Amino acid sequence: MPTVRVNDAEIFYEAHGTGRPFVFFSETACDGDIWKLYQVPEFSKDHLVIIHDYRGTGKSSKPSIDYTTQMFCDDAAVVLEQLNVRDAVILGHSMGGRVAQLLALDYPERVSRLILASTGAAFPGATGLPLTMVKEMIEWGYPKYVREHTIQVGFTDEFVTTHAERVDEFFRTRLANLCPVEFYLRHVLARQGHDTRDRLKNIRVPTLVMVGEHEGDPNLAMTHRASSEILAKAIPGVQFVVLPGQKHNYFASAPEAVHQIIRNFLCA
Amino acid sequence: MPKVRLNDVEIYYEEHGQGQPMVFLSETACDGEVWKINQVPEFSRDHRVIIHDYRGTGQSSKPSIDYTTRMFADDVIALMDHLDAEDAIVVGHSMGGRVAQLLALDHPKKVHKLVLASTGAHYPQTKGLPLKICKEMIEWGYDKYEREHTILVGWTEDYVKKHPEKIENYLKVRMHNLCPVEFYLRHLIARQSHDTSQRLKEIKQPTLILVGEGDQNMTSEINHRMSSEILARDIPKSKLVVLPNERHSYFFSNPDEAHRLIREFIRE
Repeated sequence: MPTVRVNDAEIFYEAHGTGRPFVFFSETACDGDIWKLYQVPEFSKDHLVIIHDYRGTGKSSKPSIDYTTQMFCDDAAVVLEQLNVRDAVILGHSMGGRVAQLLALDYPERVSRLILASTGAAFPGATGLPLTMVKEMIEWGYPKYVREHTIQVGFTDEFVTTHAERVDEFFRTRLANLCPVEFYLRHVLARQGHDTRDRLKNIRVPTLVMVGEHEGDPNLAMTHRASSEILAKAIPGVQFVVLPGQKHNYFASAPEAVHQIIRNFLCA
Repeated sequence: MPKVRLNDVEIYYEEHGQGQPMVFLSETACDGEVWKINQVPEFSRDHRVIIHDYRGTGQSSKPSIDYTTRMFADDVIALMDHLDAEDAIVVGHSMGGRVAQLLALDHPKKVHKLVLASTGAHYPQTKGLPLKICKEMIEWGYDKYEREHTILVGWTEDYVKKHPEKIENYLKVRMHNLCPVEFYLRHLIARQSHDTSQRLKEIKQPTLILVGEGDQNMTSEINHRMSSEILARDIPKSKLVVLPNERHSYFFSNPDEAHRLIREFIRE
C-alpha cells in the first residue's frame, strides 16, 4: 500500500501510467478514489496520474486537529517529493482547486500547468461551519446529506433523470469511503478558512479555469461561478471555460467533453 | 396568551407574583418554561417574576435571520418597557448571563442587581458553530444530543444515578418545546460571537457570580468555570460563589441552595 509519512500523518496515494505527471485533487472531504471512475483511465494512457487521499479521508490518517488547505498542500508536496515529480499538471476540483493554488504558489518547481475546476480564492465574510449545511446534516443525517447535496449542486435535474445509473455509480464510489463526519467538518473549516485573494497575481503557470454554467450552491456565501470569474480575472493569462449545461460534478456527468478541453489546454 | 410585538417579532412572556421585578434569562436556545419548575414558585411569593421565550424559541417568533445576544437584550428591554419594569434583579443562566451583562451595561436603570450563573464574557477563538457540538448533533440526532448533552454538562454522575426521576422531570420540560434545530444553531452562533470581555469593568451593579464546581465541560476553548473566574476578576462589585458538587444545572438539582444564595445577595 503506497503511503508516505508526513510529520504526524500517513498519506495514502496511488500512481497510474507513465508520462508527464498529472496530479488530481478532490473536492471537500473527498478521497482520491473518485478520479478512478473516468479521469485515471483516460489520462493514465499517456500520463503518470497521481491521486491521493487528503488527511481525514480515505485510507490516510485522520488526526483530530484543525486542518488548513496549507496543510493539505504540504501533505501533497511530500507525496510529489517521494515520487520525485517536477513540472506536473495540477488539477484541483472545488476545495482541491484551493489546494492546487497553494501548490502552484509555494512549490512552483513541481507545477507546470494548473487546472482550477469550480473553485475560488476565498469565502469573504463567511467564517466557521455554514449553518444551512449543519442544519441539513442534522435533519437528514450525514450520508443522506452528502448524497442529496451532491445531487443538488452536482447534476442537473435532467441528467439525474436521464442518467440514473451514472449517478448511482458515482455515489457508489463517493459514499463507499465516506470519512467520519468529524473530518468532513474539519475539511469544511479548512475550505472556509482558505484565502489566496492577495496571491493570485503571483501564479505564473498557464492556468485553465473551468466552471459549470449552472453552478450555484445555496449553502455557500459565494457561488463557484462567481468565484471562478474572480480567479479568471486575477490570475495572469488564464484560459476561462464555462461548461454549457453543467453543474458542479461535470467530471462525472460530462467526462468526454471535459477531457477534450483539458487535452486541448495541455497541447496549447 | 401574553405576547408583545417588539421590533420585528412577537415575544411570548409571563408574569408571576408582585414586588420588585425579577427577570430570569435561560440558557442557549431554551425558552422560559424551565424557570417554572423551581424559580417561579419560589420568587413569585415576593417578587414580580418575568420570564420570556427568546426569539427562535418557545412561543415567540422565529425569523430566519442572524441572531446576536444584543438582539436578545433589545427584545428583553422592549419587553421591560412594555411592562414598565425597572430596577430588576436580573438572573441570567449560561447564554442568558451574556444577555444579562448587556442589559446591565446598556440599560443600567433597568437592572438593580445582577446574578450571572454559569456564564462568561466571550469565547476568544471559536466564533462560529463549535465543531464538537455539530459533530455530536449530526451523529446522535438533535433530540438525543440535547438530552445527552444536558445530562452530561448539567449534573454529576452521582446525581444522575440517584435522581433519575428529577432528571426526567426536567428533561420533560426542556424537550417539550425544543425549538427547530435551525434556531438552536442560530442561538449557538449568537452565543459564540458575544464579547463583553473589554466592558466588564463598566458593570456598576452589585453582581453575584455563581458556578458549579464541576462545570468544566469544554464545547470550545473555554469552560464555564474559567469564564466565571474572568467575570469575577473584571466586574468591580462582584462576588463569586462556587457551588460544591454541582455542574451546570444546579437551578434544578440544588434549587434550595441557589435560592438561598440569591436571596442573601438581594438582601445585602
